Amino acid sequence: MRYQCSICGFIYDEAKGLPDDGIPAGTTWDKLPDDWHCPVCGAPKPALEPMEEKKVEKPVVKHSGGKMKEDGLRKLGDAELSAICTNLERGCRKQYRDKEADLFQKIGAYYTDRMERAENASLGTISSLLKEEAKGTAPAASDAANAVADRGAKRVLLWSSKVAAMLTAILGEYEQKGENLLAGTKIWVCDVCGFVYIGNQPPTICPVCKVPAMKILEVTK
Amino acid sequence: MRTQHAVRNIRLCTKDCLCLFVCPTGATDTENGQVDWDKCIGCGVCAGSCPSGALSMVPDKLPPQQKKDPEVVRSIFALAKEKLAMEMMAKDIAVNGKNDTEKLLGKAFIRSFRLQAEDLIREAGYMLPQSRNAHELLSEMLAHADGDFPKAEAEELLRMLETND
Repeated sequence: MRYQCSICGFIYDEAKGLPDDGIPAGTTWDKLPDDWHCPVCGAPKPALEPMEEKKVEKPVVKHSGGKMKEDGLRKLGDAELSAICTNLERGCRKQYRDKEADLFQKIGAYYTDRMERAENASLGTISSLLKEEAKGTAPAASDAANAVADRGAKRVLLWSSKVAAMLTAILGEYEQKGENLLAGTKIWVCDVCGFVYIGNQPPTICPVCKVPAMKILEVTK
Repeated sequence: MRTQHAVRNIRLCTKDCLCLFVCPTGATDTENGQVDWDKCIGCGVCAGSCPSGALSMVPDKLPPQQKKDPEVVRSIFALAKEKLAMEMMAKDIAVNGKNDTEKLLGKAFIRSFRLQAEDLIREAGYMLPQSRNAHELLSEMLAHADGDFPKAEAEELLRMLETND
């Protein structure tokens, strides 16, 4: 049997094992230790899925039906306005327009300050929201993007679903290991796609968006 | 008429300084690491001569953004909104988490959710600061501005960024 990582696409082949990592050929999936991680992206064992019984049926998502009315100017909340501004700030920096970037940063900060605060939040809540998202809003958006063959939208939806799957996997590990999850190790975030990695060194390229390690930044206390 | 201008990626620049020698207008001779775009005539000689590949030519007027389907825009914004709600939860956890591990995870997740939301929004009609969408949004922000809104900044952006579509 072969198992594929849902985050980075790495394939574990039971017949071949991973001799370089001390896992002999013929090591079956259930003989792999529970704390084994994907050697490419660091995702925990449950993030890999058996390839042979790949699910074909897609989650059924109810659409709001029909296209949004042309005149229906969305009411954007402070959160979305904040992210539009910080995104345009990044856009300006990419074009080496630092002055414009700083201006967008100030406007973004105004909306960020106004965003609704969360109280008594827990990692468990984030975990269940991520699972809902993976069944609801994320595939709904992918359906919309596929319907009009929007490559850019398909690209971002693929990346963000992989990143969300990684966050879900990390939260699942935290539930098991608790505080020890980060003991003696470091945590990193890809500054391009938001991929999160736990380990002493970042991967040489981001498993999701493929930028070099230089763009994967450590998060410290 | 100039159609492009030179930019310098300071991370690649190894101070070979051939750009200084070849530039006919002295546009590359600056103290801020960037090319002086008021002086640059867009000839591209600096980019062609730079041995470290730090200089490249960027069009003055970028091509228009891809038109977006309203249903794609609506559904992507709905997803981004969820990411941003989780960002706020992560902000709370980064401060009030039960232990240091939770706080550090919270901190990492803040960044992750923000980056995901930004990237989503980029593909929902807000890729270019020069786009009409960005201009219209800035104007709309100004129209609804309260006392704390950074009005001068929004007005300056509208002046500085030329619409490309």
